[in-house]
Amino acid sequence: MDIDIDDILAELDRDTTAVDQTLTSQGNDTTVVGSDAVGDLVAKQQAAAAQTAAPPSPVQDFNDLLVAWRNERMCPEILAYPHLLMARTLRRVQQQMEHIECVSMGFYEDETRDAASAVANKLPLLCMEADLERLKFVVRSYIRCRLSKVDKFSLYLRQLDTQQPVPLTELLSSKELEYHERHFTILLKLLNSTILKHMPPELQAIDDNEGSVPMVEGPDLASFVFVRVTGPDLGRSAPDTDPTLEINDEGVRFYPVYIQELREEVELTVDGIYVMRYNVVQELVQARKAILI
Amino acid sequence: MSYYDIDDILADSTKVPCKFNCSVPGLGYLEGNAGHPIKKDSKAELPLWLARILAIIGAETVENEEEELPFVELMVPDLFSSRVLNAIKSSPTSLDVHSLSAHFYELAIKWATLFSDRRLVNVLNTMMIERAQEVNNHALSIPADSAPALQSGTFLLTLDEFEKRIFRDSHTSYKDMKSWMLRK
Repeated sequence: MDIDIDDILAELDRDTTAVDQTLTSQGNDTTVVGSDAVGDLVAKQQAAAAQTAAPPSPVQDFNDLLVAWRNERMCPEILAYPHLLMARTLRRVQQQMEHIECVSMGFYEDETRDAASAVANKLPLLCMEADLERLKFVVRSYIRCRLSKVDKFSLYLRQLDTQQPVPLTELLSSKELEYHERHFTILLKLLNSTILKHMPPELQAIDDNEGSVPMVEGPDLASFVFVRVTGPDLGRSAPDTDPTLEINDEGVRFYPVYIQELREEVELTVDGIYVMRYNVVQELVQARKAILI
Repeated sequence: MSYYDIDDILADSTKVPCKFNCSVPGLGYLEGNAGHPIKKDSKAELPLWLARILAIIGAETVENEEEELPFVELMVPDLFSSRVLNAIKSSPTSLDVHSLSAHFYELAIKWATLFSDRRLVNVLNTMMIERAQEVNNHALSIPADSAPALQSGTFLLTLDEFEKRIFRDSHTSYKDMKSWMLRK
């Protein structure tokens, strides 16, 4: 007889007794095939879920930043600005810079006394500097990418109503809002003084959507993106709690999505890579169940 | 296809043949003789941005007809005549699209939207896929740091602006990839 004790081991590993595991402790005798993987995964997910209560670690934050960066670069629309994440990241950059400063100060004193140990101590400093540069590069590239989108959708952003699901203050950071406002003013001034003042009054609007060609260009939500389905929230919550996740005949977990134009249903299996129209996977990306690549 | 898209503006200025459904005084300059009225049933070549609007908006309601008669009637341009469509069907890759029109695809999209022409869309879909494979072959096969080879030159001359953009993008990405792999 095959007794599966993975869940018991996992519970010991977790070293918590408070949470009652009715979920995995029943019916394990019947599900022999594949129960290893499932049990393991559940344990991992719940351990991760326990972590979310604690303040997010720098490593986790960096991974989140990478995801946000990649999504932003590939996504046709401008995504919501991660206010908390960026605030934490920028604070850490500041702290780390000061830290490096302090460490190199200590160096000067060392060098006068013992040259050999100073050379040996240089490696951590180099690593810290290189790592900081890497982080700063990502942040810079991320912000630049967002600014180019703000440029592109300047008129569209102005027309976004307050009834939008995401208000403009959530969508952009305060600096980006300022940039958007002032850049638009400058652009308007240029257009007005060069061309528009010579036009008849009814043709002077630069956000006229009534004419033969709409002047306000919104993001092309129907463009194709490469998407990788990662599962619920990058493994932070248990898969059983996700109502949209379904399991097909072969036991593979997938999200059903519906393509409006073709009237076709598609199964996006977890860990699969697809080329999809962005508006089809938009909700999955925003809920962090899938990432763009 | 946005407001500030330069290729879109260029494509929109292509002339298409039109037939006027009514006489309009003062519009003679469309035909080249300014100061005279334009006659009913006369033909003129109008740029697409003008013709598109005139073909939609009705001039006058004819009494015994319920539908409004638009100012002009668009006639099928040479670009989408059955002769061209047959040529596309027979061999998409050997067709010289650039000599037909520099903005063939954009015009085709506009035309198909205007008339909801399903047949045209089907023909163009096949054409697009066939030609895209060829474009990919050429983008891939060119050596990273020398000029394009001769035999691919003849095909590249037949690309329209849209295909040129695809070719340029894919060629650059292949080339960058190659140089990254080789010299790092």
